[in-house]
Amino acid sequence: MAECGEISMMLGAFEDSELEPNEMQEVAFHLARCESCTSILADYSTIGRDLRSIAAEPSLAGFSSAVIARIDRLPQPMLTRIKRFLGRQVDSVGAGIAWGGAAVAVAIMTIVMITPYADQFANRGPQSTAIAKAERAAAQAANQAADAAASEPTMADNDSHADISRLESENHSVAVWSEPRRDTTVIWLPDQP
Amino acid sequence: MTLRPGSLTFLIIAITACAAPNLSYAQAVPKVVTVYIDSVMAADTNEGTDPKLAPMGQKLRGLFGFSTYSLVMHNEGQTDCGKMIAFTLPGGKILHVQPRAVDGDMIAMEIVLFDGTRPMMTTDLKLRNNGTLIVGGPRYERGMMIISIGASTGGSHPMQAQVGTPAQANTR
Amino acid sequence: MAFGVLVERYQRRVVGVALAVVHNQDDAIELAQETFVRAYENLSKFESRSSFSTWLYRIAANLAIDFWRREGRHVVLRGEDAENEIGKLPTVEGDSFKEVSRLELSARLKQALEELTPEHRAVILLREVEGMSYDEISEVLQCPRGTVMSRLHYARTHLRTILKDVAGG
Repeated sequence: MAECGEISMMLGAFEDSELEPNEMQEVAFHLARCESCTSILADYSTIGRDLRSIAAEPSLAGFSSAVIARIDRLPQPMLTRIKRFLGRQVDSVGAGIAWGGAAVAVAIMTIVMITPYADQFANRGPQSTAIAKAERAAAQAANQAADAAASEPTMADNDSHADISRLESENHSVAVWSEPRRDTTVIWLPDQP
Repeated sequence: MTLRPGSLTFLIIAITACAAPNLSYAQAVPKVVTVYIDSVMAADTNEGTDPKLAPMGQKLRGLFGFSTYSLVMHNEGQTDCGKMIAFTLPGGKILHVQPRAVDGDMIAMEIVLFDGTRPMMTTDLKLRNNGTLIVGGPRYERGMMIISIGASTGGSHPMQAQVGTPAQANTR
Repeated sequence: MAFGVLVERYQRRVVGVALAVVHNQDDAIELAQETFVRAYENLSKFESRSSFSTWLYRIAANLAIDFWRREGRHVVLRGEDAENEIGKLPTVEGDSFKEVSRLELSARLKQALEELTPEHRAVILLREVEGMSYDEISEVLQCPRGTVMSRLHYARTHLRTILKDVAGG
């Protein structure tokens, strides 16, 4: 039987259900016989609960706009600066010329948008491609997570038979692990010390 | 008088059309699920494994490593999907099992374990047909209680204990 | 702006990662904003080897740890030295925490967190508050999973010892 010193190193990972199945068994087996280690595990659960209770939830009002404002102040690509300069020049000549310039700008933009080079002038060139790439990666991850939640689990021959979607317990020492080799899932629910 | 091919065809179609609603009706009938509960006391008293636990004894020995496994109570009961079934277990425990749906090989259910009136655990899960969920840890007498929960849409469960007359459950 | 959508999606978690290290709200928000700016500037370097979120959190963690070290906050023990101190911590017997004033416990817990190195504080808060798995923490902090486990063990042991002293009077 494992000694308390050896088991104590694993208690946190047991609490987090992060041990291998055989290690989860070993710790559970020891906890069933050792009130001292069971008490330590309960203390770890209390620490976790206390940490979550004192964790501040910062106010994020205006966070997104502040980030965008900082990004806007970053050095701009040359083409964007030229466009901004031209825009200022158009404003200073007069209303009539400004309206004419606007019409010209609309015409140019229309031509640009329908050409194969549209992507280079929309937003910030290479950045838009990278943003799209990151958005695709994020969307793909979200879709995969949604698919995993919604789809039927494909059970292999050596699976653990149970797919737990929700587990609530006032017992903070509860742990869950799968035993594919023994075709079962185990929920560990020790008595609270 | 013989049937013309056209009339025969019409007859076949008519018979099939009458049967089709029956097929869909069969699918709409709530599935009946049989729930099997084995309450086992595990201890370090070197008494071996209860012969009635023959189907699952090896599994329990592999999972928990105790030297004694004794079947305390076997419960089983049938219920329709959407209806809860309650089992009174040793040590003042009560188990509520409510199958929600049977989808292919998986049985979706909610399980609530009470210690008297106090809920110890609530879980939503999908259990494979004839699969097993083990809940272990609560102290019981000189050892620990292990609750084996199995469900089946068929007539029997491969891992259920071999007993004569199981304790019946309450169905709501 | 397209990038704004990404900011709104990940802002809470990025702030959480930064807060786990620096343990100061204002600093964490500032660092989180810087994280997004850095990410924006380096979007072209993002590869698909890790998820976008992990890449983002990694930037946040690196910025936060660099900030902490740069600011020269007091550190009781360096990470490696701290591991050796595990054996010197007294074993605590007896029951779990007695009931103490919640305010006192909260204050003491915050102080105990301050006594941890940023690496130890990061792992315990990323695990307990942000709910990250060991693999996720390993990727974000770019350290082996075994290091995550040992740092968590030390942090929990340290916090438990300090809080036992409070509860014991």
